[in-house]
Amino acid sequence: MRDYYEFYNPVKIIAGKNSIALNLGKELKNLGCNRVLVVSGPIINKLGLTDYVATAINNSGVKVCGYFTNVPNESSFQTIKDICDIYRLNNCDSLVALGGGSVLDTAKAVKLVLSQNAEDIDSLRGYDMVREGIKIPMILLPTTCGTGAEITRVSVITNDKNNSKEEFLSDNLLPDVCVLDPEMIKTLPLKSVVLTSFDSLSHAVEGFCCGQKNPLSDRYSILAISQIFEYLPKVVEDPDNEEYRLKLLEAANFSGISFGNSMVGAVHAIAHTMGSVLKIGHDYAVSKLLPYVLQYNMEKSKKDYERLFYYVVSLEEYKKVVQENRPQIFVGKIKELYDTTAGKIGGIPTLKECGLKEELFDEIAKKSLLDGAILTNPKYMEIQDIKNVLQMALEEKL
Amino acid sequence: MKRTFFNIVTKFSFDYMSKGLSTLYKYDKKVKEQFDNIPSGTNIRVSVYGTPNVLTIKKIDNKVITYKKAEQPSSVDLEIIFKFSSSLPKILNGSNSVTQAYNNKEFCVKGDLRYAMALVFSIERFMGYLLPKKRYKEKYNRDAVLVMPKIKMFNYLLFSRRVTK
Repeated sequence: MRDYYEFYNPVKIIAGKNSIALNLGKELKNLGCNRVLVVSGPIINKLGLTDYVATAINNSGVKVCGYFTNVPNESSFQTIKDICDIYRLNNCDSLVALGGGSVLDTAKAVKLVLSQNAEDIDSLRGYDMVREGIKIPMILLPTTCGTGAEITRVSVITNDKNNSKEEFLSDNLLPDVCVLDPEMIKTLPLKSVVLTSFDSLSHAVEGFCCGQKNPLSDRYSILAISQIFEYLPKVVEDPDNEEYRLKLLEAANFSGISFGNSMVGAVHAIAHTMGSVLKIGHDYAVSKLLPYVLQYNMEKSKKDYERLFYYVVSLEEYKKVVQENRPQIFVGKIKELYDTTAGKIGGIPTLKECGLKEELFDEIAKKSLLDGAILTNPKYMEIQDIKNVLQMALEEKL
Repeated sequence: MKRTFFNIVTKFSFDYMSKGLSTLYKYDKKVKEQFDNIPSGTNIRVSVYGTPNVLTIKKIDNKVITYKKAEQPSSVDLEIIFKFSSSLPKILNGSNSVTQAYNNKEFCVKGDLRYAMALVFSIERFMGYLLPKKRYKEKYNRDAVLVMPKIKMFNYLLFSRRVTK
């Protein structure tokens, strides 16, 4: 039995239709904000979402004093410096960021730099390296249903000098409020909904099975997993349904709370490396690896899979399956969900098509072992184990 | 009384750990490979919360050196802080593995996690010399990898001096 655990989630969550229009201005006023810097990416800006958010803020009497709408897909130290400069130049007193993982991570890193009154983020790298500093009110608005970045205390930013991904972990990265509004993901392409939902699913499953799991994070994982299994197929059938999209946005939030208070495992350790070697999206890499890593971990996670199986099938189907088969069928259900939803959206490229080949296995395996997430994977992994998983993922054979 | 006992055990543990890491860096290719991921000049500190016990090592060129008590640097690049005085003794007697201690949140990491991974790998390799085969396999889910006979490692631990320059 574990000796003790920790759970921390001080973020206010507001969710629902029109929640931005109805609440954003009020929340900013409650935080004592008058001059906001809005941060987003070029695509979000083009879709008119930045204007939508700015209008909601201005209508409440709080002023938008600056914009940074060019956060790239792979955010960098220089981007953070540029945003901090704009914040200081315009005398802003708060941040509102809308976007996917990259934008939200960028905003979190900006908050960290500003709170410490630092020149740049380089000096703040690593885990828990900073104490509480200047209060910088921040509200995050996710526009994908995957990362959970709006509720986690980690930010991943590319170091421009050596092109490596650096992790920053601190309670100072957490926002004051996050708002889950289906308006933000109304126009998200179905392919992105599927892939980001699998990122969210992997957070939840890995959070449930990892070495740092605890009773509270487990409940959030279960909520997220059951919601994804229920609503992802529904969204694929009825893409314009706002309620279904909101459910997936919520599930991503629950997954974020779960893994933010437990950890992830080998899926993420390998996906991080695979992503930088093959230059593929994180959500794509994770969705491709998930069933194969779960299969590898079967020996150690049988009981966890058996428990999760209850939440992904109907009661009738659950009763029909004998206990000893439930873990394997659970892993099969994950693969089935991916194959079904991918099939219905016209297919997703294979890892082979994206450039994965056996010659790269050694490099990916060695770098994956340096990722902290490998420590909390339920089953110990060495280089050959990672290569075996990559082989399974390449051949798409469970 | 118990706490005093653990503090004494930790003091000796740090001494043996620093000698063990320097020895493994010299003789174990895999440990050297892991430490070579850490830039030269990086300071790493291991401490126990609420006690004066501290081990600070520095990776420089082709060595891992240990700071003397009176010459501790004011800041470090990576710090591993054990929250309980019993945590490190439990790892050393095989009651817990390093990973289990991490999962139980018995220690926290401040700094670059990649450097911490190199240190964890090296400590787990070092534990292969301290624990009986069966115990190691039970706690670490794999066989210990020994690049020298255990007696040779104990010889270094007991009779060699800490590498300080």
